[in-house]
Amino acid sequence: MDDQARVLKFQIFRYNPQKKGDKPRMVTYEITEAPGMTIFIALNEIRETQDPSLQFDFVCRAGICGSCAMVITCGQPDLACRTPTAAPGREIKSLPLPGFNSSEICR
Amino acid sequence: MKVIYTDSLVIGGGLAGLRVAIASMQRGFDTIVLSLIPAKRSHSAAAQGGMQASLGACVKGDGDDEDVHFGDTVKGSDWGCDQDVARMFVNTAPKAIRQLAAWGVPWSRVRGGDREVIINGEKVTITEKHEAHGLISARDFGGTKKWRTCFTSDGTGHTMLYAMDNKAIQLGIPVHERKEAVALIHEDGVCYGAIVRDLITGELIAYVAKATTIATGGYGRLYAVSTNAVISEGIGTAIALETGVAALGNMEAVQFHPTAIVPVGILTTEGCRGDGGLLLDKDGYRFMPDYEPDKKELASRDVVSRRMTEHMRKGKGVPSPYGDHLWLDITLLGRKHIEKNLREVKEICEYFLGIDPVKEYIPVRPTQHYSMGGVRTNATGESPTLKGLFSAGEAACWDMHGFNRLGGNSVAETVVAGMIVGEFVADYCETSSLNVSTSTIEHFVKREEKKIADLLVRDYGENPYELKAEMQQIMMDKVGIFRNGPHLEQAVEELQVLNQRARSIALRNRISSSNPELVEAIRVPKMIKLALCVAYGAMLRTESRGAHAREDYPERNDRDWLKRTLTIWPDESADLPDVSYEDLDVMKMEMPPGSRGYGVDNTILHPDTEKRIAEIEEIKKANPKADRFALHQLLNPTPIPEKFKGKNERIGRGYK
Repeated sequence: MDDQARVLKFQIFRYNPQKKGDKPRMVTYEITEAPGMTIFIALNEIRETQDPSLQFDFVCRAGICGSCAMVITCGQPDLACRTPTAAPGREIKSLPLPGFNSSEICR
Repeated sequence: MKVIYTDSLVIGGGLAGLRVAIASMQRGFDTIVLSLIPAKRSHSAAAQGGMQASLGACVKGDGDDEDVHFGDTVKGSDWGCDQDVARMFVNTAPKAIRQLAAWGVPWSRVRGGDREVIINGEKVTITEKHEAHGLISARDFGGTKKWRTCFTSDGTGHTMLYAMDNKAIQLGIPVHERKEAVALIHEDGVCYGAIVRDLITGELIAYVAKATTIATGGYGRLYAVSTNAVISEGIGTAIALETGVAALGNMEAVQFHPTAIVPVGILTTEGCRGDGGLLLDKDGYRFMPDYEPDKKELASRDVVSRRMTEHMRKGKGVPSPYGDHLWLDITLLGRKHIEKNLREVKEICEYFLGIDPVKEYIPVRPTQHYSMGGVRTNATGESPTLKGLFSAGEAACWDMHGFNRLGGNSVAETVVAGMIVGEFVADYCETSSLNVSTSTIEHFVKREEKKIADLLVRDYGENPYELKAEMQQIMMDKVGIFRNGPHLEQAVEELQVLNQRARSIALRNRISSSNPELVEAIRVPKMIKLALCVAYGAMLRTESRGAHAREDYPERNDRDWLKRTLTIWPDESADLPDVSYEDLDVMKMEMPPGSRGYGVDNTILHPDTEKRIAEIEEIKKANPKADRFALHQLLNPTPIPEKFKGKNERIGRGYK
């Protein structure tokens, strides 16, 4: 399995309105895909090992509460917890839902 | 310094917290709810299978009442519960469920006439009474004598939470979202609110209140794999512990649910087995009847989880890259039933396992699920040692669950405790006045400010994510379903080391506003303290009771251990809590200790058990005309608030 593990490229919308001078931008992170990986697992791994400032919301992580709704790859809103990384392909884009105000960006 | 004053401060916006807030608001007190997240996303929403209340409307619930529910709850707790509280609970649960129906919960209802169900692997036709048509129905759950678990398909918590939150909105209760209570304000044994961090701006705010209620749920995330939401980290419980005054109760009592999916640990409801689902091993063999011929798959949760583990240890588990598991088979229930009554389970299987449970078996294994322990309260929900501090729901050790909670009794506890404790919170608001000096408030604000400032300036130190992962692994490996002395001692030693390391956490992202790493750095030291309470309590308790199963002490020992563990942390610099014990008084029990009816009864009896049984017989003989209500008063008088004292009506039986 490890021999074929893909390197996934995450392009994530970043903007922290609490931080003076911060500008909206896309940031790219790369991680190695693991079997059964979901966007929930991937985002946590990025935050824990690469960028501790990465903001996102998960609560139930079981497709029940709705906290992790975000726009994934082709403009489709979906629950990140139940989206396997195998589904969207090697390059995964992640943006906040449209209509969220700036204080809620990337939740 | 920003200070917000209120009468009733409720920390936690799940079912229990909202219900307490509703009670104090309805009594006319200024009320504020704090929540980490929008309230409707609380973990209560994830409760699937249902809520126990002895309505006795469906035919399989015939003959059910408060007394049968009481017996099941006390037995389920392995006689570790507080029987006053269990009695208050069972008497109030039918009122709670009917109130929720009035507030909009669409409970699944009885349909008069024949219907096909699966019982013990066989298709059976049962006939519902026509006169019960339209009443609230119930399904079978583990460890209960009757079908008592009321439900909305398998989204019960979801419908309950939405109705409850809508009621709170209707009453105009402010819910302050994305706020985390990081410390309690207290002085001379009285609690005056909390120091709260705004998770967006990072600002610290003092919420000063007459009554403070902790309703923050369980501490499941002390374990690497848990069915709990990722926010169920026990922080509310931990800030009570950190007062050094409030005690936690029975922290070692941790429930493992038999059927969480492998590997991610998401729950599939006990309703799967209640509705007729079976547990199978790697040979497709139904093994539970061999271990528990009477209750089979529907033995109490602790029993089923242990039997599954035993069976896997015999080499009967299904091997997988994530370790052994067993199968949950609901295929025999059929598509129609699954798509109506187990639809959340079906979705979970589709999304997280890529299987269709109508046709395929579900890979499951026992997984951390519920915290029986929590903030110790008396029957009114108040901490016996810190006045003005209340707790309700999973966060509390109100103690209706003892050492094992029955399925369906937790959402039931949230709303019933919310109702009852909510009244006592309102009573407290009515009779107490707020006498706290601004210098005390300032002291706590400054203390928390300094902790955060220290974190933000430290250049080198420990990584909070790594500390947390190590703690979670220790709890998984050494404080699990089966426990033993050597493992528990190791766990305590290793957690003590982590506790020291947690004093020098350093951050990579050093900003004080919205910062997930800082949130982690604030929480992890608290979580390690809770983990120490669990592991140390488990190490000291040299018996097996309910979910606390010691391989080296397999017998339930009423003689030496019919007591509740109390844990306090008075010395901030210590690496271990102080542990003491509170005896359960057999001579006051409505139901003296007996056998639960699983496996061999190897209980070491308490010397008062016989005496109390004889005494109860005498009381009954001396009062031949006493009906069951009069007997409750004689055997187990409880402080149920006046408005919930009335009798409950049942079809075909009236108020008897």
